[in-house]
Amino acid sequence: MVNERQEMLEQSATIYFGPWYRRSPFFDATRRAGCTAYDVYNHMLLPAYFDDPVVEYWALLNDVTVWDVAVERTVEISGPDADRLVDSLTCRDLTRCAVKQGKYMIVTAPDGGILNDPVLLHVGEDRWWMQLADSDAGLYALGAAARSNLDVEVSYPHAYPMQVQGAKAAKTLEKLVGPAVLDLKYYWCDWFDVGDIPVLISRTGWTAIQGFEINLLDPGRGNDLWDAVFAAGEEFGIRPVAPVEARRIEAGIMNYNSDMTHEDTPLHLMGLEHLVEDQPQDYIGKEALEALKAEGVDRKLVGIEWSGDELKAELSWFWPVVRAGVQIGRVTDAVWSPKLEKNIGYAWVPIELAAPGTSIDVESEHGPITVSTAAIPFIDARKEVPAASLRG
Amino acid sequence: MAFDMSRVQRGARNRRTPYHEAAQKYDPKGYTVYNHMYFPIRFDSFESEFETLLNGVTLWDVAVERCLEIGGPDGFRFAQLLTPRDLSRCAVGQGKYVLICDSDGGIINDPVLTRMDESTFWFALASSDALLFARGLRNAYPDLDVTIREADVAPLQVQGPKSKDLMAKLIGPEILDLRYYFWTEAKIAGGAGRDHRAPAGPRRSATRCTSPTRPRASRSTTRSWRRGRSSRSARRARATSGRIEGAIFNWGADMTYENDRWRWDSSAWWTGSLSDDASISMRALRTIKEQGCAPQINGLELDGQPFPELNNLKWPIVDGGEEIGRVTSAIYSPRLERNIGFGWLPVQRSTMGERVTVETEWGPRSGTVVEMPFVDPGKQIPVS
Repeated sequence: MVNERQEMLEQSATIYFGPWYRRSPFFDATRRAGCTAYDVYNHMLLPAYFDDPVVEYWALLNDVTVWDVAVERTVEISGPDADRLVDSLTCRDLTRCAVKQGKYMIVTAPDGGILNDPVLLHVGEDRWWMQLADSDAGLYALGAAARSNLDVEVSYPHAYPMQVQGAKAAKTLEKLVGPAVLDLKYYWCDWFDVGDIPVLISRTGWTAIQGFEINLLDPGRGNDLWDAVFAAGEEFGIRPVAPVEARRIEAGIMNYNSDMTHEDTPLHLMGLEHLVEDQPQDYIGKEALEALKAEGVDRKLVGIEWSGDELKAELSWFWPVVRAGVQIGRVTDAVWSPKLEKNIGYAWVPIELAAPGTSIDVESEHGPITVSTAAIPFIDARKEVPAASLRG
Repeated sequence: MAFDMSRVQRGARNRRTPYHEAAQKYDPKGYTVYNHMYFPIRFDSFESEFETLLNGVTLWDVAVERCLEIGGPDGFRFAQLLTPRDLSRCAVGQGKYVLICDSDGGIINDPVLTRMDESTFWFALASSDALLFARGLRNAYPDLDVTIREADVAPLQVQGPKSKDLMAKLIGPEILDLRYYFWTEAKIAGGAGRDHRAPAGPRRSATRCTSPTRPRASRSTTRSWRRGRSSRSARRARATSGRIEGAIFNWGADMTYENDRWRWDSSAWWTGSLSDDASISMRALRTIKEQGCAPQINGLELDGQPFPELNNLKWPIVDGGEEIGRVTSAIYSPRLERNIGFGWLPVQRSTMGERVTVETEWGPRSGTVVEMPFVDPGKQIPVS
């Protein structure tokens, strides 16, 4: 009937760009920039492949990179009771989060489970943005607001982040919006203009390298903002990238739905335990988390590492952790770290095997291996790299 | 040839269905992601799959319709809070197409609901985490004794005129007594415990069927795939023109939470008999019904050459250079031999025969507002 159909189907075979998925305002720009694979994240297409991950890793560490993360769906909670609602959704104590400050947030379920781990930005008085990992935690907030007698509004504002991260990110941003951006503290945010494009910039990211997230507020200006950022970064070797998995694992950053799910609490994840903060105010899941804290957990997500052959690609499906032929846990991610020059990853293990330096057996997709458990994060536990002064 | 998952998969973030390995044997041409799960989208040409759906029998892995289970002593009360459909009219053993709505009437999800016992309901979800909405809402009702969880259920669709023969062969002739939008429990020989990829949770070694057109297996069995092949089933992915002809909406495309409010003008959807306390959306929907709401979804026929595929973008409907609405789904129907779709329009333009102009991906086209569904408005075919 239509001659070119077969060819077109072959070309579009791997993923369906259907209208039920939302497109990032930077989608066209990422196509132009040579993105060849997309994942689906919060009902939106997420750029997943531009170039060799090791090349992108070094570009991040030495130069500056751009990653379209508009998929971090922004949910706004506003109104006279917004502080109360947001504080009730998390085990973090938000009475200690000033206006223009941000927090790494854990959205907790009644049983203490993790429903999402957004970056939370206190963008104004009585106004908060949750920038979500891949689950509809906006629906959780809507449900919690419904019939709650709280005077709040839960909405999805136009706010589409792109990450500009890397050793030369501050230089790029200084050129883009002026030197005031250098005063921005780690995990704080402020309003800026890129030419005539209003944006909100936060000093956050998924790399634990110096970096920023620039939130586009007018979805019609995606191409313009992308081009302005690349113009500013050209002299610093700026390039588009997919998620840099090696770096985020080195830094102990978790990926929701693979490393952790709603069945896990922050007490189960090495490095996140301190996020269950003692506080007088009530929050959803408090009772369960306090009981678990007293009782202790029986399993843990820990780091793993091993030398030997370099993993050619990130793991594509969970690898069983076994003992005497029985599965006792699973590896949730694994990748070659170019800097540490070994393979690193995360694994769920029974608590008695959680201490760093314990040998465990794993059935990898490349055959059985023995790995050693390790502390999370693998590097820079005090986050000195991303938090360093930008004027130093 | 199995599909190389590394073409779409990065890490283990998205889940696989219990039928993943079985479907891989049938050479899927691609995957998409739905409710955080990989979803096979095409096995053969669209025409071939559509033809088999109309004339034969097709099998479709819809385990991605994750099952939200509301149960416990107050399960009925809580399930009713989620939806404006009157659940007292849904008997145990029956199913309903329902909308889960927020207190402002916004659509959270449009699942098929089945009533499993007096106080237990299963919602087979479209692609949004309605479970999280339910868990959030639970907070406002601390006195209700209710359980909210994802049940370990993985539906398969067996559809088409020969689905009756397949199901009778698989389960026995008693399955032919199953009425439209009802379910029954049955055992498929050899089905128990065959699924080694099952996540933790209670197991059911049985097939659940909601109707002859929507049977669902609760546990994957390689056997059911083999039976399907012996009756020359197409390993069907997505016969989208059938969906649009039948006016089946796709959450995320045709309706979304943010900008659409449903048109509640038909008693088929909502009887209006519920009190404001029974369902959280009731007050808002009553107001919308009284005052009317601005945009309305319509059936559209679009002139000109057949569209080469389903729309990739939402298309503007324009009038004098101004956007007055959007086409959310559109495709060429081989059966009707014309282009059909859904379009949101202002209420005063939502009348039969209204002419509109649409800026499609394949150039501007004129179109006409027509009645929905496009075929079989009385749903005579699936009911029989």
